[in-house]
Amino acid sequence: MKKARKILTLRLVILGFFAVIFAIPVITTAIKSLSFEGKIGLKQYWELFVTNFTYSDFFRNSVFYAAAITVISVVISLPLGFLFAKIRFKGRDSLFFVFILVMLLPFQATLLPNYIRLRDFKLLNTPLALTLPMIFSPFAVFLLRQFMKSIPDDLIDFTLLETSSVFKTFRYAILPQIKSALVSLSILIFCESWNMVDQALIFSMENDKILPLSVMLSELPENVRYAGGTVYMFPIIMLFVMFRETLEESMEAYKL
Amino acid sequence: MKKAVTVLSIIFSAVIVFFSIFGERLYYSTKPKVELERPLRIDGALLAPESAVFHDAGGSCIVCVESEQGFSVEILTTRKIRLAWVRPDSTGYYEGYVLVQPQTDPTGPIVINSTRPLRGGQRVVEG
Repeated sequence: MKKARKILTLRLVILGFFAVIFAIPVITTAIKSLSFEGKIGLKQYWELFVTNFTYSDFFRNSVFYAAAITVISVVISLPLGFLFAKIRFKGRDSLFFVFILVMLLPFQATLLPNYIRLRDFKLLNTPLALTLPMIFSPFAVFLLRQFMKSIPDDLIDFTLLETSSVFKTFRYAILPQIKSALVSLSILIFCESWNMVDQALIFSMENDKILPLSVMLSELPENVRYAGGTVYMFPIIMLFVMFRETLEESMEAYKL
Repeated sequence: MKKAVTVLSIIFSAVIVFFSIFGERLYYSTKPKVELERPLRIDGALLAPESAVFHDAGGSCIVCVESEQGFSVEILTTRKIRLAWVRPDSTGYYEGYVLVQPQTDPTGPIVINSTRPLRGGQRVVEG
């Protein structure tokens, strides 16, 4: 009994230690954002939004990219996930293997082909250059396939008895079952696109105005960097706190 | 917790929207507007308009503007330069101009007109 308690305490101490280590940068950034030239207050935020007024333009860019990529990526991945999970056809597994292979490739490996493709379509230095490559996400397809595989085939068969429409089947048999999964996936994609740096730097070398905030953060003057960092972190933390339960539920349910 | 986050999120979004719309306007409206000129140099002295010479408790001075590239705009900061002497322009070519001898050389253009009284180290906008 005593040994079990000791192990539990040790676990808590280790976990607590790592939790503090992870939280320190976030808390320090937030606290330091409340002082400006030695005085405590919100002056740093005023300086950030007024003297560096283009900050909000870059913030808007980030919101636009993250939202567009999330929505379109989910919309595209939904039927693909359904295809790989529920529809039997020749070569399905081989095709899915290719998908997994693409997913395993690091971003840097596909950077050059993406760059050449965007250049040929004359899309470099445009907002499309920062959204298109991330819209087709093999990771989203893979995740949705895993979620959809857990839906019983009988449910789809019953729905097919009621309607012959594919959309209705999808709407009434599939979507309600993967609601929490969709929320989790959206948050994951949102976070990934919110933090894009390499892609933006390479695909928009000649157009600073369309860059997301993640790239421009390092350009901020030193005296407002903490406020800039805090504002940058806020949407992600907010999303996590708001959808924490759903996120944890789906992670547990699908053993991710 | 969720309610608090929702309220915070609404406030946060409102702040972002507000400053997206009014940030630039606030920057330009909260700072003194100045007219700038690069003075001519005649025998080590500067030929400046009379309006460029300011008088305060410490004597006469001119206000030089130093610029640095900021995140959004070029940031103009004032620097007061005390004057050793001020003499009327003897050449007669420039009406309303005076010859001034600054104690240190101005590193940028000088203010010839301002919408508000200026002090050293203050941020201004040109216009």
